[in-house]
Amino acid sequence: MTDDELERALFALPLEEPPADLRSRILGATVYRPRLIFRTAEIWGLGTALAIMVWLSWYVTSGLPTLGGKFGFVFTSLIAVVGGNIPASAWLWLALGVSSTIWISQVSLMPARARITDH
Amino acid sequence: MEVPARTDDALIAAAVAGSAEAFGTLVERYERAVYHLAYRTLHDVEEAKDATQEAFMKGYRALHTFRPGAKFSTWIFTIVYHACCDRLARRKRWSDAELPDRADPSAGPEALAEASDDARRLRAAIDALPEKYRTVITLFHLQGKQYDEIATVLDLPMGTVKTHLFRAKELLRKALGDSIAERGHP
Repeated sequence: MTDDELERALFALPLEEPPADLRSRILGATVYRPRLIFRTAEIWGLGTALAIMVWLSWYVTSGLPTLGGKFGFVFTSLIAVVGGNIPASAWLWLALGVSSTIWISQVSLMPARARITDH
Repeated sequence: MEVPARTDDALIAAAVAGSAEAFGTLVERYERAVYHLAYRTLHDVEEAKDATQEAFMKGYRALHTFRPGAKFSTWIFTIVYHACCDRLARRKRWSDAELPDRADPSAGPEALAEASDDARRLRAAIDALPEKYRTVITLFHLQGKQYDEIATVLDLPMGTVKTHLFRAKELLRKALGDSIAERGHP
């Protein structure tokens, strides 16, 4: 068999026939992929903000008698957190915030999925 | 009057601008060749499907980085080839011994398309080639004598591609010669 004959035979070989559902799978994973309302970073940001708000609310409604005292306590607590001195309760509320963030990220916030059909 | 087909560059520009239809046309245009390369490299229908899907997903996400004027086929073949290499590496990691280098017997579809004994023998001979030669021959089949494009996909020097191709053809000729001889002298 000559080189030309081999090349002719090679080029005459039919390509593999792709499975019937492949194109719809590709399009479903690309152009028709449902878009999230929020980006992942935004979800994490919202979750973190939510966790901090819950923590602050808890401090404000905690046992200190006056409103000024509560806000003062919150302020000093924030300073402590920023300084790296995080109280145990903060860890608890942050853990709750992170778990709720993970939960929110799993909830479907997507518009109705476009129907994809084989072309 | 027939409407001229849009070029790949025009389709890519439209897809980057958000046209789902343009990307769909690109998929339609290259799906078969990409799947062919994946299947010929992996020898497994499901893995070839996954690698093809993965390649188009990566391609879709990186479409804005595509350099106008470059060949889309080379670009997408490179992506799918890397996806296949990752899968082959994973296979080797998960198995104590290297998996047998042969076609999936349940592969089916291509068997239906095989029109003649000669095509079947040629395909069997390609399947029997060592992986590096098989990939070069598959790309040669897909891209013709564009050695530079093959070299880009495989990330090999052009000289190595030519050597691999020469060796692959030699092995094919030998295999086909042997099978012709066997057919001639049962």
